[in-house]
Amino acid sequence: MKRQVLWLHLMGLIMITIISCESYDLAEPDRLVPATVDEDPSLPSIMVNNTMLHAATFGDPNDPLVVVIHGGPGDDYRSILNCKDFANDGFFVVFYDQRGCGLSQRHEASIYTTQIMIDDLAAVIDYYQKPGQKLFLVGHSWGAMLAPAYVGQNIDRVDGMILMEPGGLTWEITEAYIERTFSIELLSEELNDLTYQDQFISGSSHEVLDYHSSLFNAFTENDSPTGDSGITPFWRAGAVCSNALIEYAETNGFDFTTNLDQYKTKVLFVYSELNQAYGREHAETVSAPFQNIELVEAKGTGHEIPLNGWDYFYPIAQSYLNSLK
Amino acid sequence: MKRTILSLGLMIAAIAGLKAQNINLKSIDENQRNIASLQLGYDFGFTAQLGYLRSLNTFMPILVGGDFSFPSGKNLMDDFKVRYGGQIEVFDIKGFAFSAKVMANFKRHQTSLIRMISFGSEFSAILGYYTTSWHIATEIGFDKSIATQLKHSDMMREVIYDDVKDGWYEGTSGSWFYGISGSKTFGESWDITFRLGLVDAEKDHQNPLLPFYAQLGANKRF
Repeated sequence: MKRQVLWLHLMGLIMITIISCESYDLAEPDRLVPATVDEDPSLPSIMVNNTMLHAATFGDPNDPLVVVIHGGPGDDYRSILNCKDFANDGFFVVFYDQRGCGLSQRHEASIYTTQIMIDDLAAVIDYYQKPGQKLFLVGHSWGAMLAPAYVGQNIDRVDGMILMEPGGLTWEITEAYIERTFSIELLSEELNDLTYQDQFISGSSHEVLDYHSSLFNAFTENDSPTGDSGITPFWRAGAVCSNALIEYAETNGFDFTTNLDQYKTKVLFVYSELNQAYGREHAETVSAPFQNIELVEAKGTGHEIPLNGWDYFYPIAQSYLNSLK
Repeated sequence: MKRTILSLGLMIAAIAGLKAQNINLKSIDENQRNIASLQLGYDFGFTAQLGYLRSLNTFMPILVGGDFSFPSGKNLMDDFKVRYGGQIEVFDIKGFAFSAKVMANFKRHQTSLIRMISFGSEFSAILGYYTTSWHIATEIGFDKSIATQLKHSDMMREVIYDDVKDGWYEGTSGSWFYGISGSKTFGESWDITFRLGLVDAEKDHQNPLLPFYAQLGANKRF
């Protein structure tokens, strides 16, 4: 009994010490995740399609327009910022964080559909494009799925397109690819990195959900089938957007191949050497709806081509864009 | 803060007795007041759990004890949980018994992005049918992380958010759990046990990635 009384006093002392320290709420803005554009007016933003997007531009606004579309859903444009180099080649380069992603405004889950993400892309293009200005789309992963979806609905507006490892242009193909990218052993440290934290942190606010989602990325530090090692940099995870769009796709499916057979301009389609879940076979499957395609394998990189394969990718992309300028 | 203090008070109260694992109270007799246990299963990770408890010689059955669990993986000691508390049988009518369990816990978790340590409490109610050789029961409980320290790594600041704030955070997690448990006695002093159930995050919080628990184990009475 004496031992238990001692424990009681010791634990009481520890808890009193903790409570007497300054303590915080997980959902407190700006502590665990950065503020979004609607919370911090100093961030560069545009207001389109009833949402405020974090956006940045590089180059002369009168040069041909290049809109760079990040992956995810739920990621942001921090890891693809190398694409700003196209501004040095005479292009006006636009980046934006998609709705609910990065530093863009958050929304409730019910708002997310594949069409609203395509509409946001259309609104960004309308915001920046001047009459007669050429338009090029550069998409990575999920962004390389949105780009053809936009083209299918706006067949005459796009003067060229670079697609880096789109998961698929239909849900069925995308789902099979996602399954191949996710490899985890049941008794591994990686599984703990994903699941053990759930007993420490839970919540429903965007701040907590985005923070929690950020911590999941410790899981990606190790080698993965996608050929990337290390954590890909990002500003802030878009947890609600990511989950809602995946759920939407699971429920409703999607088909972004509509009208692509009418798109005659050559498309530069890039897949990576080290992504074991992708490869030439998958690249040929995904790119099949296009009439005019150039398939290129980016050497020495995994899925994160704009980040880890930039030196190989850039001259190829540069040559492609200049040929259509 | 009121909720924190209330939870803290309950947790400290729990330390008067220590936590019991999945035990058949009827299988304990005067000569076997000590129980050592090993449980394997899934509890926010594939875990091994080692426990010890003792039956107190009181006016009603009380078990006190604790356990230590850790998940599998190459870094065995970067994640673990220590729990201590007690279980008291409130009533027993013709083998149908109701007992309450309270425990305090201390948890640690570390990845390349963060180290978390947390103090919390756990309460559960157990209703079951007990014989001297087996039992089956239902349980419902609530697990709360009362105060959690977050300490972020340089990598977190480099690749995600350079201005992320370390510190103590209040009430960082809470979850309900409900399921079934049971045991079967073998020989004079061995019990094989199981627990199986679901985890449901409090309020409208997002549920855990794998919202269940499942344990198989063995108890040795001596």
